Amino acid sequence: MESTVPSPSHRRRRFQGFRVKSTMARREALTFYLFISPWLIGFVMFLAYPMLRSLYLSFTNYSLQGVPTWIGLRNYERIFNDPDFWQSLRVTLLFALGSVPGSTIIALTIAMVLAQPLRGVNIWRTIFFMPSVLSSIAVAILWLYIFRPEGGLLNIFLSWFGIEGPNWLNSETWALPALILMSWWTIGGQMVIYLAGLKAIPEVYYEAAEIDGVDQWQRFRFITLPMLSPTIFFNVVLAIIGALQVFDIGYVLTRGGPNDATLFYMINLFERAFQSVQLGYASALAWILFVVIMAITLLVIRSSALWVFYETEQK
Amino acid sequence: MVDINTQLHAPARPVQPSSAWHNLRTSLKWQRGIRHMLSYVFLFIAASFMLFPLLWMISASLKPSWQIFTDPPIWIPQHWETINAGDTNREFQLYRVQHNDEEVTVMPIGSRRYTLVLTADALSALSVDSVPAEQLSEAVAASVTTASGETVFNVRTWQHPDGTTQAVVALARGEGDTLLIAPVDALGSIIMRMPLDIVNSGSRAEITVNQTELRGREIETDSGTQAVYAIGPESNFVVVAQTQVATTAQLVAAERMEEAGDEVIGETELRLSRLIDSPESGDYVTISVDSWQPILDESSLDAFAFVAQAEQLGERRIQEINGVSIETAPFTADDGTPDEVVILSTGTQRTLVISTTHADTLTLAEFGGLTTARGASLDRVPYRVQDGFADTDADSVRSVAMVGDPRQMALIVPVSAIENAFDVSPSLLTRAMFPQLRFDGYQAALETKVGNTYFPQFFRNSFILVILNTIGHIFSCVLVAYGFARLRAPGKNFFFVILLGTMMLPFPVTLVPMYEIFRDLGMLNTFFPLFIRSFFGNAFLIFMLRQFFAAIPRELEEAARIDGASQLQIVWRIFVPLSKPAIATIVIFTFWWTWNSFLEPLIFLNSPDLFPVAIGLNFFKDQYGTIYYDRLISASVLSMLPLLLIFFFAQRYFIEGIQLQGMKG
Repeated sequence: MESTVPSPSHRRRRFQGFRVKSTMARREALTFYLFISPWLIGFVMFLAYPMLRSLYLSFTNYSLQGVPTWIGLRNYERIFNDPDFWQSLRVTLLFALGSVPGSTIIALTIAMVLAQPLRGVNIWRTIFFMPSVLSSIAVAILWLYIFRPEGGLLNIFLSWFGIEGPNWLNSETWALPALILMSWWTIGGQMVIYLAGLKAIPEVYYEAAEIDGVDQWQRFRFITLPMLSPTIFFNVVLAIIGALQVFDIGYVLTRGGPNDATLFYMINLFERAFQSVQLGYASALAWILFVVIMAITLLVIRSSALWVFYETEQK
Repeated sequence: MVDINTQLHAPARPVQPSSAWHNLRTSLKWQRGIRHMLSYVFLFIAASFMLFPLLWMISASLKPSWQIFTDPPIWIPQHWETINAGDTNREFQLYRVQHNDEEVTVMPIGSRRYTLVLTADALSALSVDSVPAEQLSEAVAASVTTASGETVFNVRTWQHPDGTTQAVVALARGEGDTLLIAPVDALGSIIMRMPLDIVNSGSRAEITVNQTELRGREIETDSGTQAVYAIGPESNFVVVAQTQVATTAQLVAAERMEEAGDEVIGETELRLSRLIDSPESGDYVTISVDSWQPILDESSLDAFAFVAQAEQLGERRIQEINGVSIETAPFTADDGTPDEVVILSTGTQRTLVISTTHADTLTLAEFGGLTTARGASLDRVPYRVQDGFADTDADSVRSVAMVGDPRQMALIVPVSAIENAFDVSPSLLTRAMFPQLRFDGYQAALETKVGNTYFPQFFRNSFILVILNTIGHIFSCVLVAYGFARLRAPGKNFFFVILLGTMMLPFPVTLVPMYEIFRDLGMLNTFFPLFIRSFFGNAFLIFMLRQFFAAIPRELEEAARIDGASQLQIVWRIFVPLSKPAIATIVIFTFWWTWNSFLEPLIFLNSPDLFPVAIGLNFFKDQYGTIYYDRLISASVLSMLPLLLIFFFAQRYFIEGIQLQGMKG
C-alpha cells in the first residue's frame, strides 16, 4: 500500500490471487449450474422444446400416425374460418371479462375486512379459503346441484325473493353467467395474496393519515389502493391467464354446451387434439391462445404504468 | 410497536383528561366499534355464502337421493318410515295425517276420484246467466277457495254489455252459442266435493236452470235423495289404511286376479279383486301391479350355475321355486344323472342354468329398483347383475343376478285385514319421517365398480401421485432455489428472469408435444407423465423457496463452510431444517395441484385402474349418462376430505408461508 509502484513480485501475487479467486468463482458457477440443472433440463425438455415443436406442428397436418406433413399456414387459415374457434374465443374472453373483475373485487373486499384486527381471523380466513381447496371437479359437481332448475339451491334462494330462476346450465343465455358466478366462489388463493400485500403496507402511513384526520374512504383511496396496486396487478395478471385457460369446470359441467354456449377455448383445443386427433390444427390453436394470452398480459403490464404504484419511484 | 399502542390506548394515568380529548377518543372508539361490528356482519354474510353450499353438500351426502332435490328443501337428512309388504322385497312408505282429531300413521292402499258438485237446491239459489259465448274471454286456470279446500277452475272473464266485467265459471253449453255461467265468488261456499263413483252410481236426473236442462244425477245422501250436478274438475284422493295392513300383503301373478266390483270399506269405497283360481279365499284389494324380476344372489350363481347345451335340456315348463314361478327344465348330465334346473339366461345354443336344489336364494325384486345393473357373463352366456341390492329387512347389501324374465305381479291385501280405510287429499298427507343420517351413499360410492376397479383405487392412485410429486418437488426445488439464492455465477440473473417468465407461460401450448414425448417414451397410460416433471422443478415453488432461502442469515452457514462442509451438506443440514414452513407450503401446494389435476390425467391415462380421484368422479354415470346423484355427492365429499384435512392442519404455514413480497416490481 505504501509503495506507489508495485514490485513485479507484488503484481504476480495479485495475479495469483485473481487466479485463485477465478477458479473458485468458476467452481461456484459450475456448482450453480449443477444445482439449477434439474430446472434447466426440465425447462429445455418440457417447455422450450415442446413450444418449438408445437410451433412446427402448427404448420403441419399431423394425426399421431405417420409423420407431420408441412402445409404452411393452412391450419391458421382453417382456424380463422372456423366458427367454433371464434365462438370459443368469444366465450373464453367473456368468461375472463366476468370472472376476473368479479373475483378480484370479492377477494379484495374480503381481504380488506380480514386485515383488520378482528376476533377469529384464522377461522374466517379458513372459511373463505375452503372453497378454493376443493378439487375443481368436486366444486363442479357441487354446483351441478346448486344450478339444478328444480330443487337446486340457487333457484330456491331466488324464489324467496319471488324470482323464478332459469334452467342455468341448460340455457344458452345463462350457462356462461352460471360458470362465472361459480368462479367467484373460489377466490381463496387471491384473497391470501391480497392479505399478504395488505400486511406489507407499513403502519406508519396510516398513523400519519390518522394524525391528518383522513377519513376511511381517503385512507383506502390514497394509501391502501396505491400501496396494494402491485399485488392487485400480480393477481389480475395471474387471474387473466388462468381464466383464459379454463377447462375443468366447463368440461365437467356443460361439456361446452348447450349449443356451444360454454365452449371454452381449451375445451375446443382438447377435443381437436385428443378426440378428433388433429394435432397440427390443435397446435395452431394452442399457439393462437399463447399469442392472445401474451398480448393481453403485455397490455396489462403496459397499462400498469398508469395505475400500479411502485414505492421505489418516489425515492 | 405493541408497547406504544398499549400506552396510547390504556387510560393508565390518573390525569384528568381534557374534555375535548375525551370526546375525540370516545368518538374514535365508537367509530371503530361500529366499523368492527359492520365487518363482522359482512363477514358473517359472506361466510354463509361460502360455507352454505359445502354444508348443503355434506347434508346431501347423508340423505337418500329423493331428499336431495326437494322444494321446499329438506335441510336435515331424514329417514322416511317404511313398513315391509309381507315377505316381499317391497316397502310401503308411511304418512301422517290428521284423522278424527288425532294424528295417525297410515299407508296408502289405493286412490279414489272425487269431483265437485252443486246440488239442485244450490243451483236454483244461484244467479245463473245464459250469455253469448263471444262475451266471454278464454278460460284461464285459476285457484279458487271452496268449502272443501283449494281447487282449480277454468275461470273466464264476462264482458257484460253494460261495460262491467265479472269472473265466472261456465257450467254448461246452452241454446245456440250461449254458455250458462255462474259467478266464481258465489260458487266457493256452496260447491261440494263428492266421490266420483258415488256421483256416477246415481240415476240420471234433469235439473232445469234458466230454461236450460242440465244433466245431473240423483244420489242418496244423509239428508235424503238429492239431485246434484257435477261441474268438475276431478281430483284424486289417496285411500289410506292402518299400517298393519302391510304385513298381510302378498305377491301374485297379475293374470291370476280378476275384478270383483266395488265395496265400501271403512269410510271409503275400494275396487276389489279376487283370485281366479281360488275365489273362495275371499276378496282382495290390489295395491299395485308392477313388473317384478326374479333375482338370484350372485354368490350362488358363481358357485353353482353352469352352462348347459341345448341337447342336455328337456322341455321347459313353468314351476314355482321359493314362491317364484320361473322356467325350469329337466337336465341330463354327461354321466346320465337327471336333474331339474332353473333357466337363468339363454344364449345361442347354450343356456345358463342352476340346479333347483341350489336355487334357494331365488326371489323377486321390483324391476324398477334394478336400474343400475351391469352386464356380466359366465362362459359367454350374458346376464345382468345389480350391485348394492338390499333386501327390505336386511342391513347388508349384496350383488344379485337378474335371471329369467320380469313379470307382472299384483301386490294384494285381503279385505278382511283392512279395518279402517279412509280417503284424504294428497296435500294433507305428510311423510312420516325422523332425522337420521344415512351413510348408504358413501357405502355405495365405495363399492362402485369402474372397469375392473373400485372407487377406493382412485384414492390410492391419487395418493401415490401426491407422494411422488412431493418427493420430486422437494428434491428439485430445494436444489434450484439454493442455487438461485446463494450461489454466484454469470448468467444467473438471466436465468432467474426466465424462471419468473415461465410462471406466466400458458401451458396448453406444450400439451400436444408433451403427449408425443410421453408416447415416444412408451409412458402413456402410466403414472410417469403425471409425476416425472416434478423432478425438474416448478417455477412458482422455486421462486417461493428462493425468497425464503434468501432471508436466512448468511452467518448460519459460514461456520459450516469454514468447517469444510460441501454445498450439498449446507443445503440439507442448514437450509432444509430452517425452511420447514416453506417446505410444508411446497407439500401443500403439490398435494393441492396433484389432487385436483384433471386435464393431464384425462390426456395421459386411459385405463380406469390408474385414474386419480378427480377423473374417477366422472364415472358415476351409467352408459346412458344418468348420474347417480347420491353416490356422486358422497364420493365428492370423500374426495374433498384429504385436502380439507391437510389444509386444516397446515393452514398456518400455507397462508403465512407464501412469501411473495419480491414479486412486486
